Amino acid sequence: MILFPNILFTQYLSSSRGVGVGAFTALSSDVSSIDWNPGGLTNIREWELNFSNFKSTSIAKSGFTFQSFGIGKKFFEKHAAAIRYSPGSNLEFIVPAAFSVYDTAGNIIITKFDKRISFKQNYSVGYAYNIIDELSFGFSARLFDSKVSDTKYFIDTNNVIQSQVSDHSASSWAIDFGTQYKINDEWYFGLVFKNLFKINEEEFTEAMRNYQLNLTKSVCLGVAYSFSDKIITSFDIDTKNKLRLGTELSAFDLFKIRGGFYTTDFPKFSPEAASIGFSINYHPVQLSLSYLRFFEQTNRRGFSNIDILNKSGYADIDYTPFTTDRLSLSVSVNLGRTKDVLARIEFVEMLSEVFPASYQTYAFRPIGKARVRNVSSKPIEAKVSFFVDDFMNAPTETKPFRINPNETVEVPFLAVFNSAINAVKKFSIYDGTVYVHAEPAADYDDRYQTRVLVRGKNDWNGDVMLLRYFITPNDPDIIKFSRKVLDKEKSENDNGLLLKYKHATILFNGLSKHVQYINDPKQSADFVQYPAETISLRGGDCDDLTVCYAALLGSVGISSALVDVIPPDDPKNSHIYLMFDTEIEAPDANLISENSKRFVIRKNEKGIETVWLPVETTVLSKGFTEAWNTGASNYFQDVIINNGIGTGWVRVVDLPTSF
Amino acid sequence: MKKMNNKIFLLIIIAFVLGCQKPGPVELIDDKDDSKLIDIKSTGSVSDTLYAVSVGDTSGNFGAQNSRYYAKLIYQNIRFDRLLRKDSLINAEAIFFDKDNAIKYHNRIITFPSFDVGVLKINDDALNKFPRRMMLPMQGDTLIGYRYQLRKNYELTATNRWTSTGGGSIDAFDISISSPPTIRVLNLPPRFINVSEPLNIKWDCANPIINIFISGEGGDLLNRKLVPVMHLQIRNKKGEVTVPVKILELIPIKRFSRFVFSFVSETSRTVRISGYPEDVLVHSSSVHSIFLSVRP
Repeated sequence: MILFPNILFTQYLSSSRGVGVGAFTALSSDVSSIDWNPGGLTNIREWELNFSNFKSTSIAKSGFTFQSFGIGKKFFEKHAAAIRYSPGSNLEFIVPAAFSVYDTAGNIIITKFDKRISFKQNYSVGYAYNIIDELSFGFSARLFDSKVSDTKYFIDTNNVIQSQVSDHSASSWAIDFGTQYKINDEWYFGLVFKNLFKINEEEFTEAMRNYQLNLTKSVCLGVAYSFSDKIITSFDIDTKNKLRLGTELSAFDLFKIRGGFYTTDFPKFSPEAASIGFSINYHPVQLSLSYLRFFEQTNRRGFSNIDILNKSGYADIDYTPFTTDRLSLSVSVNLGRTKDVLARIEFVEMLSEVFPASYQTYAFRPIGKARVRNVSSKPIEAKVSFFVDDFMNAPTETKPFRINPNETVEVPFLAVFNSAINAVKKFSIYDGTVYVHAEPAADYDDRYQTRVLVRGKNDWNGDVMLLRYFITPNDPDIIKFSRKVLDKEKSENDNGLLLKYKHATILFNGLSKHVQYINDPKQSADFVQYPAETISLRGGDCDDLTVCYAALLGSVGISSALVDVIPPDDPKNSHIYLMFDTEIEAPDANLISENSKRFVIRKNEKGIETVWLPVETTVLSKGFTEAWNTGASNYFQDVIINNGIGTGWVRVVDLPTSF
Repeated sequence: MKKMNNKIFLLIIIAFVLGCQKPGPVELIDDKDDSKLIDIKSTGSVSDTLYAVSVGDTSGNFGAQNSRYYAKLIYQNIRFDRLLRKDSLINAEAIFFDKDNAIKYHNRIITFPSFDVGVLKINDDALNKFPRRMMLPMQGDTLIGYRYQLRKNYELTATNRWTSTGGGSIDAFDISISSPPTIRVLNLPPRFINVSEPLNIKWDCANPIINIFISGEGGDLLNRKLVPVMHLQIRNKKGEVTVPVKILELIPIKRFSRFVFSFVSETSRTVRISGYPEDVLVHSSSVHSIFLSVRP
């Protein structure tokens, strides 16, 4: 009669690393967490394949046994699940045929066994959930199959004893519940409730009930302490008075050695077994090897006293009083993204829309900023990258930002667009991607998809600083136009001090003959024509004409500046005109006009004070002189009388002669 | 990347190939189980009792067990326990079959004639000489030979000596055989046993082999006979045996209302006697037979 009353063994041998450390409840982090602590499944990074073999070293001629094959998957960031097939998780006993039966001729009747009792734990599944980064819960279900083959004897009609084998089977699911909690970088906890629930699928008949596997409930607490990056030590203690101690040492980045010490009868610390092991990481593959040696070899060499079985209860069928010394080999393959996440992007803010006319400016002026959190336990150096497909040839990358653990930093990022962005005709929305890299990672740690608003090529946000990017003096159409106008007036050309003045006059008058002032069909703050478009369309509004005239001046080497006026009492009635550099030095200003109110003395690019003439292009049709008078009058009123520059509502933006 | 994938694949293949063996089962040894001390011997068919020579064969098995001998000198020290009665006696028997002149009916041997060996004594006590008569076809009531038997009060002897004056072609002989250790069962329940529980039996006997013959009591009230159902041969290492349920379940409790458990300690040897062509079995045994009812 076989009973399973008292002694429980809460040790698992499905992981070579677990065997090596011995105390693995707080540290389990792979598919074998199904056994050790289901809460540890959330440590699976993406996909994990796990293979385990073992060899019983205390039994002669024993070869390697394929113990298990498992697949684990992390999904939706916080969930993880695993399934495992364990053909090697068997516990089989044979009770030899005890008495001999002879036939009438005196020959012994061969009987293979009296009983064959086998327990299997071939299938198991697990699921875990990260409540917060530091805390996870999980459960696992393991299917236990029991089978008893019993030899029955009977007397046949010839009064001769015969034997016959009858099979009996039972199966049940055992449910475990476990949690892991990481207090900080040093302390790790694990708590497992083994065999918390049991669901019977098939039960033995009453006659065989004594052979039912008795999966006793127990609780196991695991604690691990990390002394440094290199050393971590742990212990497990359970309600069945088993205490395990273990240490793992990272000798190199890719090589770890470990050892464990198994005791029983806590608090007596009766030594039971010791283990050593190591593992090697090669890219996504981790190869682990461990050796488990029992101090007491009785019952562990393939035969045992039946009383030991009678006294044993089981949480698992791998680690029992009959478990032999073993060499365990595990191969774990991590597929998908395998590096530790050091940084996360919490939020991305796009600081402006993209105006194709000024697309170069985003290479110097942040287009957005990302709020990055250090989710690791160590300070990191993080870089943020930004990329918009089609409009950027390569992602931009910021300089590294140092972020302390659990702190956030807002990292501004730039964008280097290519000229393809000028093909955008109208307001559109495109996908942009923000990445964050953290040292020493080579891959990005996180990424954030954001919306990038790209305006049409003629769109303008009203900022005079950006208006200059519409001014294209190198445009062949502009150069062609300015040459044509100047050539027509060649006879009046003079090579003296008034050359720039005269060229500006001719170009203005030429422009006035070719185009006319037309009110902006949209708000002028939104839409600006490129100079070539204004020439082509033969018309434009204030902004368009100013931009066009500035481009014409620039095409013949005349420096100009935009005068942006935003009246403080009427900001909506803003206005732009320009002034150009005659390159006549201030002492010769009377060559232009005796009236100092008609010009502006200001330093040019060379630092020399020269005479600048304000020109109002809205009166284009009235000719240069009227435009000059109006411009000078406006400038005098806005700047000299009302001190617009001093109070900030008038801005003068210098334009380079070439772009 | 492709190279690395190949290595991973190779590792996985190795893991599979290395793991093709299955661990053997743990062989469980039960030190307390006496099954290994027990051999279940065939009882043979009931017709073997053809060779039974004695009403004193309390096991009903003696003839079957020794059927291959045509001449037997049998000495039995018998203790017989019934519910309300206990008997102790000595039973001595002898017969010398004439193997070469078998009596047949329709070409089937129905018995053998037997020789007259003159005056046969055991320990100086002369055995009674009984004529064997048989109704034979064509011949009617015919003397087919003699058998010898002596029943007397129990006595303990260390050696048993057979002597004969000889007769016919058989010369006189003087043969001695040591008595086996006497067997007495110490702890059998007085009335019944249950086959659903292991049966522990202790005895007072040092013979290295103890035979247990289990026979069903058949026949009618006036003509009861014993039918052998099981023969257990026990290697006597500790003066007791626990018969497992698995063996007890073989007892055909539906066929018989009562059973005789005979515990036999014996010595035997064969001798040649001048003038007799076959081996002669010289057998000495101590028998303790107990009537018991058997319950499921």
